[in-house]
Amino acid sequence: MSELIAKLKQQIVEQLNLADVDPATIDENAPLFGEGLGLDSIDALELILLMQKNYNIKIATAEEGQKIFSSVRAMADFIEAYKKA
Amino acid sequence: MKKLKIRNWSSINDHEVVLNGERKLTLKSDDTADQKLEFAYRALGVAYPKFFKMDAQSKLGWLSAEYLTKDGKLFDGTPSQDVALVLSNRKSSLDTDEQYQLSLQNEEEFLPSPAVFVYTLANIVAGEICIRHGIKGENNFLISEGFDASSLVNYVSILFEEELCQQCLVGWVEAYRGTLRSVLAFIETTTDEKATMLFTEEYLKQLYQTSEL
Amino acid sequence: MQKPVYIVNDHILSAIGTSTDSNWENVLKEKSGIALIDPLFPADQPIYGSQVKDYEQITSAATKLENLFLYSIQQLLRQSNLKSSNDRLMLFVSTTKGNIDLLQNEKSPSSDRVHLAAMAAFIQQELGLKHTPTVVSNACISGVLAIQTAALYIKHGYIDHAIVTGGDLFSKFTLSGFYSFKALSAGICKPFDKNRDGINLGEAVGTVLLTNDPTTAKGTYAVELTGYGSSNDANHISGPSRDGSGLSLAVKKALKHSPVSAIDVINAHGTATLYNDNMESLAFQQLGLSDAPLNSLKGYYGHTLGAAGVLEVIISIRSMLSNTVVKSLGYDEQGTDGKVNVAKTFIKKDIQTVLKTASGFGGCNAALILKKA
Repeated sequence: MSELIAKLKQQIVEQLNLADVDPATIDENAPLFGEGLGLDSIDALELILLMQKNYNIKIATAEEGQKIFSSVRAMADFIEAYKKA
Repeated sequence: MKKLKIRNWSSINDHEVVLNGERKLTLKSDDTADQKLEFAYRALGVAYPKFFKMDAQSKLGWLSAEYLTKDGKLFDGTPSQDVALVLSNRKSSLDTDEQYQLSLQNEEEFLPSPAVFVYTLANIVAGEICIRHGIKGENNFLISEGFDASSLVNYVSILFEEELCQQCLVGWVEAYRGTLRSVLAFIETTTDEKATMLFTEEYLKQLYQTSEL
Repeated sequence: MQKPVYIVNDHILSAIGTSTDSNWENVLKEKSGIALIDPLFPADQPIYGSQVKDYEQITSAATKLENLFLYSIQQLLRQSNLKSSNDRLMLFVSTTKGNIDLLQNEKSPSSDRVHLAAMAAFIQQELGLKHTPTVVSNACISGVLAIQTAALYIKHGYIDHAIVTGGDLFSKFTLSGFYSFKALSAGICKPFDKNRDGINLGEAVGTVLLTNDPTTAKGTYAVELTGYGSSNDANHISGPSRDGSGLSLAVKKALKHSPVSAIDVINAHGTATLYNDNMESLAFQQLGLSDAPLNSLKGYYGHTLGAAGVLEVIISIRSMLSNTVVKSLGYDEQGTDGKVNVAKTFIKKDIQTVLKTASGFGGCNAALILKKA
């Protein structure tokens, strides 16, 4: 799990062009949107792409994405659950 | 007719960043356009993480406007809805259009990026500048075969005459396949009889030509 | 003394007609040009849109879009006394992507005309127009802004007449982009409706003739352009402002410069995305325009991008001339936070003034006020 979390942080920084953010400093339990990283609606769509490209998970709507992208840990949990299903 | 003058102007090309005719920064010739833009950004010492999400043309326009600020402000005291932004170029957003078009070739894994697509409009650079400086006034993006000083001076003069603006940022912003070229001038009215840097076709053309050197 | 500026003639080429008359007849019949189309890429939803399928090839040297522009402008000139060689006439072109289909075919002899100004120059030369055209490319407000720009040039004496033409292709490029934004409707769009779920893209060309001298230009009517304004939300490059304040600024500016006392009809942008329509509703409420009959024409044409502003102004003019508020196709139930009076049916009413608005990517907004002369 911690490996997946570290990998996700790296992928998020790359996909969203967060040039000055060190992936290690992202708190996996903190909200991804609203505070901190300053992500917006386009970033949410880019995270949907990230999930499809790297984990073959399709997310239909931005609303559905909102729950999954609440934090890095929530994303990792979702990926783990998807693999098991 | 209102008398208009250029308060200050900036230009960026592949070699340098210039403010009011004086070199502010020399860009390394073996750097890529992206590296040059990042270097010019770092030199400003401001923190604007969204800069790295922009395409080259938006970065270029954003930087050109940033170099015109004083204490972080592009304008002070004028209501934000009375500041206009009029931009122009030849290539529209072709640099990013080509990049986006490439991402459409792969039908096996068809995943076009919204973060790339959004920059496939000429005026997105204008949006980025407006967001940064809170410009809420008239917007226009004119595409021409070459730098058209006459149209820009005519159009901006009309905006002033119609009282559609009190100040205006106007110029040319184009980034294409690694070549950078921008000239932005901040225009305001003046009552000073001896004012220099008047906003005329000849003078604006001269600024553009200077930026080529 | 500045002379007023009028629109005196027009032409529409769209999925529902090759003339303004046929377009207007089909609008009155509630005919939509939007249909299920072959997806141009692997999509996980049905794709609807409107396309111009039957069009005349004016010259084999022209691309599809150029042929559409040429046809529309030629039809317009045919209805007028004005010669294309008139020294006081200028062409204004509104487009977001022009010949974007040429990107796929760099070896084409017309490949340089992927540049918007080169495309406009080609049209100018084909028609024998004297002056270098002005090209406005400012996302979805391009059409309204091009009309404003032309009107201001005329008002200030730089020219006397202007042809303003707006157009864009239905392309894989743009379609896939809105798809990536998850902004495409799964059916025919429903502007301002509670169940709206996104936009349809459309293809069209609309052309208007502007003049300060209706006798010389010989129009079929004269509608005055009295108020202009544009603005930027300064908020986000793709999302509309949440509160509609940016659009309000543009409308206020247009009203400030216009002598009209009341707005009889609002022809809104109404793309049918959740956020756009909601933003517009809040703006109109703030402006005290909640009771003015309002419509969006996207249910007939889809979002025709560079054509939209021009095309919608033309239909609004027909609406004024026939004193008929056009039904906002696809609307059933109020679905916005701001109160707006969306036209559920065609309404007979004396229409002296129309407010036309548009908003687009880059945070831009534009407003225009039309007045019966």
